[in-house]
Amino acid sequence: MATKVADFGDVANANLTQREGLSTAPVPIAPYHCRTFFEQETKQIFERAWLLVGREEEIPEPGSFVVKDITPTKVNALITRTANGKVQAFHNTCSHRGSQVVYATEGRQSRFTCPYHAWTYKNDGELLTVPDESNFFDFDKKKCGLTKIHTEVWEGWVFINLQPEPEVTLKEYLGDFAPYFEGFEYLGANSPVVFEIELDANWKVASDAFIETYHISAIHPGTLKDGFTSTHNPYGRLLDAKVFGSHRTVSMYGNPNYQTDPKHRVEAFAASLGETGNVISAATKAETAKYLSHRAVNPGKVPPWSMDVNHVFPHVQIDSGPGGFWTHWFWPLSENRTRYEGRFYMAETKSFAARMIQELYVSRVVTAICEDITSMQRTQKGLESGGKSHMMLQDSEIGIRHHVDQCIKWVEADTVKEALS
Amino acid sequence: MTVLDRRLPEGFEELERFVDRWAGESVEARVAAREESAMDDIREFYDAMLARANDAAALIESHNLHDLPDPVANLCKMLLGLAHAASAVEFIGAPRVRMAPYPTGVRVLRGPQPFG
Repeated sequence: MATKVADFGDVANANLTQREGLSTAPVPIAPYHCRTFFEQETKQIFERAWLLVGREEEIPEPGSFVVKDITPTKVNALITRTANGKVQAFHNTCSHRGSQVVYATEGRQSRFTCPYHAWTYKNDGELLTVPDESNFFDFDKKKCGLTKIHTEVWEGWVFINLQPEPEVTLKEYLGDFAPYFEGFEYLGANSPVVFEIELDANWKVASDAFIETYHISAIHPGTLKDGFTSTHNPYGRLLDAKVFGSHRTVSMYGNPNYQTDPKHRVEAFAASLGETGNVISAATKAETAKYLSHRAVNPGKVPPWSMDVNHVFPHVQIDSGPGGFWTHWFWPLSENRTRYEGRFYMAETKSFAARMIQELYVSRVVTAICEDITSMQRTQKGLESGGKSHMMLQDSEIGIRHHVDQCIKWVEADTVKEALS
Repeated sequence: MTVLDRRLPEGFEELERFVDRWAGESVEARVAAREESAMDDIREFYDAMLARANDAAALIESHNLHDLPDPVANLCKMLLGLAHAASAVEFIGAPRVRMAPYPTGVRVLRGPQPFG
C-alpha cells in the first residue's frame, strides 16, 4: 500500500480504509437486494434520520412551495415558506378525510384548498375555512390544521425528520460534518438543471456508482476517463477520504495535464468565442476563488484534483468541482428500484458563448448518466441472482464500504443515538 | 424556397434542411435528435453546422439571447444541437451510448435557459 500515493502526487494518504477505522473484510450484499432489509431501512433509517429534502432556493419567497414524495416512506411532504420567511414541511393530507390537499409539485400561493371538499388552509398550516362548518360535531378548527413535520434549515439545506419527536437534533445528526462543511459557497444555487431517471437498482447500487472513480476508465472511456486518470494514476485512486459519523467525504484525483483534445472541435469552438471565467455557475472570479478556498473543496489543496463527493447520510451526495457544485439524490422506491435526481447548478446567462458551454456540459452529463445505467441495472441483477454473498472492495471504494456499514448499523440500532455512536 | 418559407436568417439557407430535426425547443428534444438519428446524418449535420458555427454565433451574439427573432432562435437552437451531435461524433462514436437501454428513461426536467 505504501507505494500507492507516491505514484501520483504529494498527498500522504495510503490505506484510507484502515486509517478511517473501517474493516477491510468483504462486504455483505444482502442489504442490496433483500426485501426484509429494505423494509428495515425504511423504518430504521428513513423514518428516523434527518432527511435532506431540498434547498431553500427551491422556495425562494413567501408563498413559494414544493411537494415531494419522501420515498421509501409513504410521506408526501408539502414544504412552504410563510410570510415571515419560515420554511416548514407538512403532511400533504387534509384533516377532513385524508385526501391530498395540493396536487401541484411546486408553485406560489399562500392558501391551499383541498380539491375534495374545499377545506382551505394557510401556508403555515392553519385551517381557515370549512364549507358548512356548522354541520360538524364539536368542531375545533384550531385543532384541524395541516400536520407539521419537524423541519430544520442548515446552510440553505432543508431537512425533515419523521419521528414523532426527533431523538437527536439536526446538529447532533450532522456531527463533525457540520463544522467541516459550514461556509461552503453554493454558486448558482437558485438555478439547477434537473435530470431524473427511475433505475432498476437498489438505491445503494446507484449511490455507490457516484462515489468511486475505479469504474471510470472502463465505463466512461470517451467521456470522463481523460479527466479522472493519468499515466501516473491510471485507475483514478482517491486523493483522500474522511468519515464523519454516518456521513463521509471522498476527494477524487484529476489529471493535471488534461487538455481539450483537438478532435473535440465543438468544445474548441465554444472556447474560442472568448467567454472567460466560471461560465457554468456564472460566478465571478472573486466568488469562485472564495468557493475554491473553502476547506471542504479540494481538501488537500492539490493540483491533481477533479472533484469531491460529500455524502450526507442517507441518500444525498453534494459534489464540488472546480466550477461549482452539483447534487445527486437517491430516492429508494423498492429494494430494486430507485428514483435518481441529479441537480447541476448553473446560473442563467445573457451570453451565447456561456450558454453553449452549458449545453456541452449538459450533453456530457446526459451521456455519462446513460453510460452508468446499464452497469447499475446489471449489478442489481447479479446481486439478486444469489451467486454471491459478499463483494470485494478496494481502498478507493471506501465510500461504498462506509455507507453499507452505516446502513447496517442504523438497521440494527435500537435508538438513533446508538446508530450515531 | 421563398423568403416566407425561410426558418433561418438570410445566408444560412444551406442549413434549412436540418431545422426540423436539430432545432429542438428543449435539451430533451436535442438529446432525442442525437439518439434517433443515423450516424451518417449526425455527421452530415455536424460538418455543415460546424462550418458555419462562427458566423451563426456572431449573428446570435448581435441579439438579446433571451429575445431572439424566430429565425435567429432556430439558428441558436441548432448550434446548441451541435453540442449533442458532438457527443456522438467526438465522444461516443455512435448516436446512442453503447450498451445503454433505449429509450434510456433519462428526463431533463429543467434545462439551462433559454431553450432548456
